[in-house]
Amino acid sequence: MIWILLKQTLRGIFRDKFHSFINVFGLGLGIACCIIGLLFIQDEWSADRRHANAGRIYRYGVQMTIGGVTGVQTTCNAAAGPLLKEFIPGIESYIRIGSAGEILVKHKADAFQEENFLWADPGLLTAFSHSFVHGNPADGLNRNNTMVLTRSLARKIFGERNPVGQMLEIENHGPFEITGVIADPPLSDHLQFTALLSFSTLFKGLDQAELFQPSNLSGDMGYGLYFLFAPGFTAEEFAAQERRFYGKYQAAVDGIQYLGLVEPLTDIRLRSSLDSGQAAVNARFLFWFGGIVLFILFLACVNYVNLTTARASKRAKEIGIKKVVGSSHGALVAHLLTESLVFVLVALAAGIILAQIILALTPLNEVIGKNLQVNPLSNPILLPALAAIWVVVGVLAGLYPAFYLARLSPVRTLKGKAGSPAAGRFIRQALLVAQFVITIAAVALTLLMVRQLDYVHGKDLGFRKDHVVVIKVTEAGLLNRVDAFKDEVRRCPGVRAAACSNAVPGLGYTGFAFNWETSSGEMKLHAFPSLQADSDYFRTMDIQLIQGRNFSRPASRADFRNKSLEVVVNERLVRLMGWQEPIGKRFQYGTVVGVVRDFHFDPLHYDIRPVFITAPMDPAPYVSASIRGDRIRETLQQLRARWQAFAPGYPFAYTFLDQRIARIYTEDEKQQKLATLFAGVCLLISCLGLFALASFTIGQRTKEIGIRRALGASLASVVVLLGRRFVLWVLLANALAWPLTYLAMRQWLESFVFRTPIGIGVFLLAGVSVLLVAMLTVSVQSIRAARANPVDSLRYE
Amino acid sequence: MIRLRDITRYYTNGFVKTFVLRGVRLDVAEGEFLTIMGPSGAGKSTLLHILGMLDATSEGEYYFHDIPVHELTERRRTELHQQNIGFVFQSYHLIDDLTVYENLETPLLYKKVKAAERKSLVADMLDRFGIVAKKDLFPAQLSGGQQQLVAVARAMIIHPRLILADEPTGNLNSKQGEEIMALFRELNRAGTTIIQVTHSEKNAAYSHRIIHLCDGWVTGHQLAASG
Ligand SMILES: Nc1ncnc2c1ncn2[C@@H]1O[C@H](COP(=O)(O)OP(=O)(O)OP(=O)(O)O)[C@@H](O)[C@H]1O
Ligand SMILES: [Mg+2]
Repeated sequence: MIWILLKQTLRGIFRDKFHSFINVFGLGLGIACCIIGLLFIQDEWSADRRHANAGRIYRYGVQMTIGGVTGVQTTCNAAAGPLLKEFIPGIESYIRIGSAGEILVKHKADAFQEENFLWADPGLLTAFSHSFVHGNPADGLNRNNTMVLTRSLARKIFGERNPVGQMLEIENHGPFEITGVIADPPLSDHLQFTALLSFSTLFKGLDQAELFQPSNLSGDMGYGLYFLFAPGFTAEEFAAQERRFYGKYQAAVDGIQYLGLVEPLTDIRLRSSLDSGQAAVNARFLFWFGGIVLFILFLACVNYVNLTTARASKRAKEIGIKKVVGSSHGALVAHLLTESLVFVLVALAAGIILAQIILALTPLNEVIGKNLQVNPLSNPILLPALAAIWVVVGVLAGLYPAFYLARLSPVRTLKGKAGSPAAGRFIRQALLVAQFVITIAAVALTLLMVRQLDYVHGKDLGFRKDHVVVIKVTEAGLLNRVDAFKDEVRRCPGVRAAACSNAVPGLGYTGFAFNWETSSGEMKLHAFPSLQADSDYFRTMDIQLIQGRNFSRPASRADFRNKSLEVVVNERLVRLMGWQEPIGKRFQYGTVVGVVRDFHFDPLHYDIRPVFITAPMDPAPYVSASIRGDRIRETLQQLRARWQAFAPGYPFAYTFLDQRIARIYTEDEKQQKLATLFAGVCLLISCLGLFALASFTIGQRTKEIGIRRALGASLASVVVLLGRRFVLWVLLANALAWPLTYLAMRQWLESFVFRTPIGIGVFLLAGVSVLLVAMLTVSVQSIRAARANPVDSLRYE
Repeated sequence: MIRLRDITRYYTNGFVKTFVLRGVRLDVAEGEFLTIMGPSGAGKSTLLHILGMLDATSEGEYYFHDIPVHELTERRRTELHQQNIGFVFQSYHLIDDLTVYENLETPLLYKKVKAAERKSLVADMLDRFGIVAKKDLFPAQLSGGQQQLVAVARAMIIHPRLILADEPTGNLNSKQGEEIMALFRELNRAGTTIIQVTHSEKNAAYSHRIIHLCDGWVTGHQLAASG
């Protein structure tokens, strides 16, 4: 029986190739999206869970209260690990990490500029599970000046040779021996790096007993820390022990309140409490992604239901006959469901192939920053998931048509009365409208995302971002002479101005808590972010000085001691402090000499913060040069020549400030690209459905069209007659979609402090463009039907 | 074999009841060949559908071999229908998407007949109706007469005790019609009970007995030429 059904279903699919193709392709596309969505969710969910000890690894973070301001950070002092391990027996081992920043690596004559090196304790290789290509976890990073490469970096430097035992020269830190090569950490891992350097090297030759004192814990907090807990040791037990530790060593140290916290490694990606901002971004992205995928699957199922019930009149006769020759209601439902399952199975195969094509040939993986692949055999959840999709979609999409068809009375169907297109029309129209609601919403939301990103890129940030070249000097010897280099740069004919600073927009500031003079004259502790930049910085960056003056001289350590530092603050700080006359106001180490107009140093997701700026006391590594826009190429040549004279043998690495800033919004751009892709898929699937349904209803009205044409109706009037109804549906969909979309837009924009207004424009544009596409879809067929010779359509009967 | 008592069938249209059958009383004996005649709209097809258990009565009693059909559940009715009744229609009603072979096989599938037996039953029918050569064709590839032949074969394949035929020759030319009627007579002689609806006196002449239906009333009984 099942084989006969199978054969008959497949034949049915091939008989009506046009509708079947639309059905299989549409549903296949929906299933492909669903598969990709599942892979994505699996990838997010399994983030860091692949480590065998994942359940026992915890990230350490610190909540500190300084001057009334409480903040949580995921970095701490290098002493926290060793001290806590000694105090708390439940800690099996600690793993400290530190970012090596932008760093120069030399192998013989080759030099490589690298960004993703981590300083790490050996536990990174033993507590976490990394698969070794060469070497082994036990002797990975045990000694000073040893390092472990990832496979991709090893390949880049050494090709296919085994590099274990070879040496690499690391800028500022001397030669390192390579002790192992590991597979690149998967993109879903929380810790991303291209190479690991032994952490102990950082404290080589220093007295660690003196350095690692509890009293130092609240300073120099630049390192990440992870613990491997002993089996059974819990976060609650840790918290209790940590309080004991605090009470014993830290409580008396200073006025700073310090609270050590831990969170499971597996929570970091989606529900971190220590870095909730990023986790919220990840979780929200996952939510949107999953939602969109389900919507698309829904759209595809709607097509299936609509086409199947629309074709009911064709099927009705067959159903009637089957009842006459003895089929029961149950047998028919079973038959129709089986048919739906067979059909979905075909669509599933198409979906797997489409998913593979999408992942391999479109930039989707790149956009979402993953490496998703459809491997039903090696991915343990894929086969069960595919089976589940099959049954759920097959039954869901098949259920309504099956009961709808099986319910038809045989007497009526054989008279040709039941199963007419009128039956079930309401549900079909409702589903079609729902489809277009989703499509219009997706298109409008995409347009808004594009608009917001345009706004972000076009917004006046309060400083110059075009034609600013940033060169970073990292090597210690060069850094000491950075001012000389800046002067060289300034002397290039193409350079308007050049300045040194310790940060550039997008990198963020370092915060400092100092005492500041309030408007009533007393001194009060405030934590404000700060920037160190020389007196050329405001001119180079076109930051407007609106009160007072620029720095009169470079700053020095002596200024610090004599409390004679010059400080420039931004308007926001003035407002926060409530100063009437900011110039001359005191702070712990000096005096305010100037006020600059507010500028956006942080991404536009955040509000402008109160910032103070001092001249650098230590050499500032970022040299920014504002260059003339008309001779960029020559100017870059000149800069290169000066760099080579200044730092022979070091590669000339520079970035344009506007590109650096654009990089801040990659996450938003990623969302926008994805939204565009999905809006396109929504539109495609909906129009496929509309196309099929229109072809069907129009096919049903062939005779009517023939009669009207024979009576002298014009081509245009027939096209309007046929298309009118579809246009009305899409208009209705617009009316429903707009308020819903408005809410979704508000939600999305909430992540930006600075937002483009939601105008009626995006709605109109989305509505009209979807309407046009829909009209085009329908009119192709209306015109064809209307142009057919009326005699042909009337001859039958 | 069949006992109808005061069968009434009406359709409710808003508040108006339209009567199609009124108090029909009819007995049909096993092995009979009965003709139902009457003007268009008299309720002939409706009566046939009720006899074939495709349609339910509004009032009245229907006994099939003393089983009260009007009291049966849907499932039992389907079963009874499946085992005993074959249908033939004016417009053949073959399934367009199935071949001749598959059309013949369909009733057997619903009766859950084993594959091997199905095969031999279908082969028998093809042979008996002389359509072996056509078994892989689709209905649209056959003439009207051939399609009706297949329809009769399909009705016969479950060896029904009752065949219901609604104007089986209505769409056929007279020669094809005669062939079908000859076939019916032959089947009837072999023991199958047949009830046909027809407008043609010539066809009616093949049967034993004629009843006249007018406006839902049985208006007359008459013995046919062969009866
Ligand atoms: N669903 C329905 N609702 C209302 N009236 C119906 C319905 N189905 C059939 N009728 C009416 O029942 C009456 C009998 O119909 P039926 O098909 O039994 O007639 P008939 O005798 O077979 O006619 P013909 O010789 O034309 O086939 C007709 O008047 C018809 O209009
Ligand atoms: Mg009739």
